[in-house]
Amino acid sequence: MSDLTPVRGARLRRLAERTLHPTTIETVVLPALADLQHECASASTSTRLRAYWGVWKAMGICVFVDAIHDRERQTASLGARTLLFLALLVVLITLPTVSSMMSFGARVGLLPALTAGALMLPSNIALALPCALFLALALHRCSSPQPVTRLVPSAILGAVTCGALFVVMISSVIPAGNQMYREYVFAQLQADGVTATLNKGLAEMTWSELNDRIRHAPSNREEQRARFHRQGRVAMVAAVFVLATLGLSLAGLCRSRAVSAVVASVLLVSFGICFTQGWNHERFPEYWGWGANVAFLTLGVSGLRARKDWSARSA
Amino acid sequence: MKSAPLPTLSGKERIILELLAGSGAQYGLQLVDASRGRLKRGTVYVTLGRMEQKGLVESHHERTTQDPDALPRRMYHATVYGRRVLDAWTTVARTFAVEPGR
Repeated sequence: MSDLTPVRGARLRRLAERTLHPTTIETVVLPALADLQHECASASTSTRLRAYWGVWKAMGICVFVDAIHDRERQTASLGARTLLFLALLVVLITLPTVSSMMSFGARVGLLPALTAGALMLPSNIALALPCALFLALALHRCSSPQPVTRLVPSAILGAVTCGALFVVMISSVIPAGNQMYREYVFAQLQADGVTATLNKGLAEMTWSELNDRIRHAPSNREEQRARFHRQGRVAMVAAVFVLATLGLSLAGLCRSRAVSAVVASVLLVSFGICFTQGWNHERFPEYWGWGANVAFLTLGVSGLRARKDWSARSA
Repeated sequence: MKSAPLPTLSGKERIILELLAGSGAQYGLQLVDASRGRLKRGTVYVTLGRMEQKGLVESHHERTTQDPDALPRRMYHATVYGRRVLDAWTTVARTFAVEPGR
C-alpha cells in the first residue's frame, strides 16, 4: 500500500531540481522537505498547510539567493545582454519621434526635436524593457548541458526587477513624461499659430489620477474607458513575465544565433501586434484584452515543458 | 599586515546560535518552535544554510527515521568557531548596552 502513496514533497523536490543550484537543494530544500515529511506524518491540515507554505517560501527565497550568488555568471551575462538590447531598442523606438518632429518642417529645429525625443524616453524605456529581457533570454547561448534550468533563477530575478521597474514607470513616470511631451509639442504648435486646447488623456494620468477618474467619472462610458485603460496597464506589467517565460522557452534552443534572432523577432512582433490589438481597441468586458498574454504564456509554458533539458533531472 | 575580516552575526543567526549552544543538536523545525516566533519556517533553512557556509554551524543526517521513505532529518549543532563568535558578540553587546537612566 505504501508503494502507491506518493512521497510528500516529491513534486516540490522535482521543481527545486529544475530551478535551483544543487548546493542550495542540499543545504536548504532537502532539510526543509525532510522536516515537512516528518511533521506531516501525524499533523492536522492547518499544520500541513503551514509546513508546505514554509517550504514554498524557502524555495522562493532560494531563487533570489541563487540568482544573486550567480555561481555560473548567468545573472551577470543576462543583465549585460538585457542592457545592450535595451539601449538598442530605445534608440530604435526614439528615432521615429525625433524624425516626426523634424518633419514639421524647417520651423522645428534639431534641439526641439531632440527635446521631444528625450521627453518620450521614459515611455520608450518602459516599452523596450520587457522586449530587451525577452531577447536577452531567447538569444542565450547553449554553453551548459542544461541551459534552461541554470538560467531560471536569473530569469526570475530579471523578470521581477523589470516588473518592479515597470510598475513604478507605468504608474507615474510614463504618464508624467507623456504629458510633458504633449505640452511641449502643443507649445511648439501654438508658437506656430495653431490654436488648440490640451486636455489630459487617460494615458497621461498617474495611477492615482486614473483611480480618481474611475470614482468620479462623468458617465458610465467614461468610467468603462478608464477601467479598460487601468486593466491595460496591469496587463503590460504581466506582459513582462509572459515575455520572460517565452524567452526562457527559447533560450539556447537553436544552435544558430541568426535563426534564434529571427524566431525571437517574429514572436516578439506577433506578441506586440496581438497585445496592441487587444488594448488599443476598446472592447468590453475589459478582460478580452488579456487574450494575448494568456495565449503567449501558454505558448511559453508549453515550449518549456516540451524541452528535454527542462524535464531532465538537474546535475 | 592584513587582518582577517571580522565575523558578522545577524539577529536570526544569533538566535539560532544561542538555541544550539543551549541545547545541543536540533533540526530546523525544532529551532522554529524553540524560538517562540522569532524564527520563521520559510527563512530558518536559508539562514542555517548560510551559517553552515560561514562555518558557524555543522550538520549531519539523523540516524534513525520512523518512515523509511522519508528523507533523513538534518540535525544542526554549533561549531567551536560559532560558539566563539557568539561569546564575542555577547561580550560586545554587554559592553555597549545602554544602562537605564544614562
